[in-house]
Amino acid sequence: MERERLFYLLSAHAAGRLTEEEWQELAAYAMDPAMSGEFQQQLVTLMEKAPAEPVAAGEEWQSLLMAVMDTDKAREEDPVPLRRVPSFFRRWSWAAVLIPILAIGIYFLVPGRKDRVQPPMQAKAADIAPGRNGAVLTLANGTQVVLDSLGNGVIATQKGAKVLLKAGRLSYAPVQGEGVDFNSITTPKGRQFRLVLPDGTGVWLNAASSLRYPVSFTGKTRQVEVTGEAYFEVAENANMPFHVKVNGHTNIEVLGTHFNVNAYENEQHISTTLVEGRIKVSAGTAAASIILEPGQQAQTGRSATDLKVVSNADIEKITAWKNGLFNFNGATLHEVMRQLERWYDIEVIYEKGAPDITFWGKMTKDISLNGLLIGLEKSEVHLRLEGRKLIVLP
Amino acid sequence: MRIAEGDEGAFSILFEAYLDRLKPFIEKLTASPDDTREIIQETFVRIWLSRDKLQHVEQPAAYIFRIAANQYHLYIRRRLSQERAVSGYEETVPQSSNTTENTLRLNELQRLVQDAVSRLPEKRRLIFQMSRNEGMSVREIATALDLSPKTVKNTLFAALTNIRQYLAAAGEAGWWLMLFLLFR
Repeated sequence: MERERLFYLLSAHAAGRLTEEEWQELAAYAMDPAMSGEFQQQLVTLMEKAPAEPVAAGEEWQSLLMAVMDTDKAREEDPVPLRRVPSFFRRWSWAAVLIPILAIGIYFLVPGRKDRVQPPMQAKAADIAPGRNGAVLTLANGTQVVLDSLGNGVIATQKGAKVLLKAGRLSYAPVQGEGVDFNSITTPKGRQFRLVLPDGTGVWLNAASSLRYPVSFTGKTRQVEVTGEAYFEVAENANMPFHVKVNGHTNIEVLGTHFNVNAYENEQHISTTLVEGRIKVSAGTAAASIILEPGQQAQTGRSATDLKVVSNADIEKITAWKNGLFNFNGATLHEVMRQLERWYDIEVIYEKGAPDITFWGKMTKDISLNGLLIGLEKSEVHLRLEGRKLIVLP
Repeated sequence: MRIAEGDEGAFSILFEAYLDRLKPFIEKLTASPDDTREIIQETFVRIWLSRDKLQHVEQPAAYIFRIAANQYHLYIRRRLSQERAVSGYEETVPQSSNTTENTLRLNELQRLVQDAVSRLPEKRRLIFQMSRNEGMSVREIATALDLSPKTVKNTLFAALTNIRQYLAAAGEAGWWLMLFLLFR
């Protein structure tokens, strides 16, 4: 059924006769990880049927071909550098050999052949799947809606405001009137989620986080509350400043912008990192506040005196999570483990303290825990997995 | 087989043959010449850096289309996640300025490949660079280093495998596929 539908949508798309509704349907298929294999398979079928049309082998295609074949040639003015190999990377390059053997993430690459690539080792211990998209929506009246498996469409209506779910993303159709209902979105460990607020502000919510917001913004300010970690792309509205209250004690006043807030209770402090625009961060009382420039990070704690600014924050590393990556550059074992706890919903126990290791490298977040652990073992961290408890051995 | 050994002429013939089939189709899907170029470029970079695999591929068309389909899928997902607004108000929200962090520009890829090459064991690196930078054939390298052609060929293939593993480990989109796309 779905296969035929997908085939129809893709061929209609290639023929340029897709309605807006059908396009939305196709987009949902494209974004659904469970449909990846089917999506690509149907595309291959279409490509095999598509007629060849001679393409003039003009200069643009010739230079593209040259550029492709130059990728593995050393640039002449740029001799191959003999830099020291960051140890984590060297180790990960080995892990890259092993991970595919174990990872279950391959299902979308080799559809229908899962059985063939399942290695015998997998039977040994139950593997822990990586996190995925999903959240729990709590409506003003207390009703809870689990957003993991819902299809597309209107999932709730309250005071005339429509809550829509499309391609795994929640959005609010704006309404006029006095909607002062508050909704909240909560992600457990192992889930992250993306939503668009009624004013068009985009919010990415990392695992074990929450966001509380009104279903429509009225009054003088737009006020939301956040715990855990979130990335905001705030829609500009000079007449209605955007305020984020973090863990009840830090306030961010947004003057139109992109920024990340990391406020996990088990991190040392709340880190607010500005990517674009301008924001004002206040700690405790409004008396202690600072205006951030892009690339700066404010670190705040419970008391008004805990306000510190770091320049040249590593934006790529800080926002890697929303792009589906782990970025462990310069991370300590504790930092790495806290991320794994949230994404794989595991508990990490240190039997005798943590070895003093600094990690380097990036990984996609869609690999299974076992795959990742093999990489960690290669970095000389000794680990034992018991159920959902990961024990760090001395 | 000649492509597997790094024959650029043979690869050009393959490129031209499949360009005629891929370009019209992908352009219909993307409706953008620039995006079409990007997808085709990413597709052929993957084929080129996996050229050692081509000799085992029984149906080149199915293999190449699979890579192209994967690239189109990554592309459409990237586009959709960039769309900030949904439903009725896309007009009021400006297009995301968030450029695709995952999109791999060719120079960046070249830099990564060179990092990978610099990390190869010394002998493997030497042979790989004789092949790529000096344009020497397998036979010429074998004569120069007093090795069997088979050893040289295996060394070149091992180097390519290392490069792909490095790219996949660096988290670059689509390289996992190249690590274990099966042949039919």
